[in-house]
Amino acid sequence: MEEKDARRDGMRPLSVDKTWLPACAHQRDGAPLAMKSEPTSPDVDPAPPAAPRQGKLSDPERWVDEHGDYLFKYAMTRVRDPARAEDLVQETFLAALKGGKSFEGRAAEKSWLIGILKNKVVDAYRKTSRESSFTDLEFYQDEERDRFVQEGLFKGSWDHDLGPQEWSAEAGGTLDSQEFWKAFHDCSSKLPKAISTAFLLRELDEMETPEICGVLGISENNLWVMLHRARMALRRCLEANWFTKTR
Amino acid sequence: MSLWGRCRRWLAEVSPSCQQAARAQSARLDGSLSRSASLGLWIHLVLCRWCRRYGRQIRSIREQMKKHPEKAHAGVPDALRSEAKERLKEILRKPPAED
Ligand SMILES: [Zn+2]
Repeated sequence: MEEKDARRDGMRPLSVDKTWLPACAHQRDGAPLAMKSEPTSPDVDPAPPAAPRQGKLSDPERWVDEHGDYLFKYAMTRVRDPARAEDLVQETFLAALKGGKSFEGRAAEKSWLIGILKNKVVDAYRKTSRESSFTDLEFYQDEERDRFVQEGLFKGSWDHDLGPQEWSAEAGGTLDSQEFWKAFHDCSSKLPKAISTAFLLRELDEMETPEICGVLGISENNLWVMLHRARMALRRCLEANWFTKTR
Repeated sequence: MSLWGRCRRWLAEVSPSCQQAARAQSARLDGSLSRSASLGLWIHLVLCRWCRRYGRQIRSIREQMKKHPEKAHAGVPDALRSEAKERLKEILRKPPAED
């Protein structure tokens, strides 16, 4: 009897409590966070940490060798598409060329270029990925629903056949095996693009949530749900693809 | 009903459901769990081994990614192709005219 009571529904509706959500200044239709100039203007100078100094004008071709790979990698983690990432790097260099600044030292130059690229990424997301994430979220809502008991006394509890199974390998630390990483890549590539981007920005780049909202142009609610669904789906997929095979 | 039985019953009433607890555990990883929600989650985790297991697993996924970022990134190209570099240099030598 006590066991059953422990699973009763009618708990507080936690999900609507705003205090649960990450602070995120950027809203869908508002101005993006940390943008000092118009996002559409190509010659923006997003406040480099060091003031530009008059020196010999940087050689743009050298930029490609010195900063190209770094900028590309930065763009790749955000757009997950080599062709789009290359385009963004190109746009960045062109905007930088037009801006015509030169910096003492590679570090200042690099952060200036990154600042431009950041705005380009925000622009790219604003143009393309606004609509797609919503249906993805709906899809994952259904997936989440399957895992929990939907009716009666146990409503909201894990369905014991579908809930998390013990990963016996966990204790032995064999998570870091070739099989694990293969399953990890298979599983994360199955996530909808917007969701996996948000998840990887958070976990791999360790970006804070307000910044992710800015990059993806999404609201705090949306991001919070996306991260939750990504963890849920990834965990489930890993369990099916990796754990059950190594058991 | 025993005293422990009453206690459990009361705890169950103030704790969230598993579905809510799963959301809360994710929110905690993002540092966005309020203090009152943390308390509710804590109570739930005392009672529910399924959710303890869920939390352990999503945390271990995060830890693996943190420990081995190069493996988590594997397969994603992290450098420009040399043709792309040449093309970029070409473009920078002769930037397209303004319109
Ligand atoms: Zn639970």
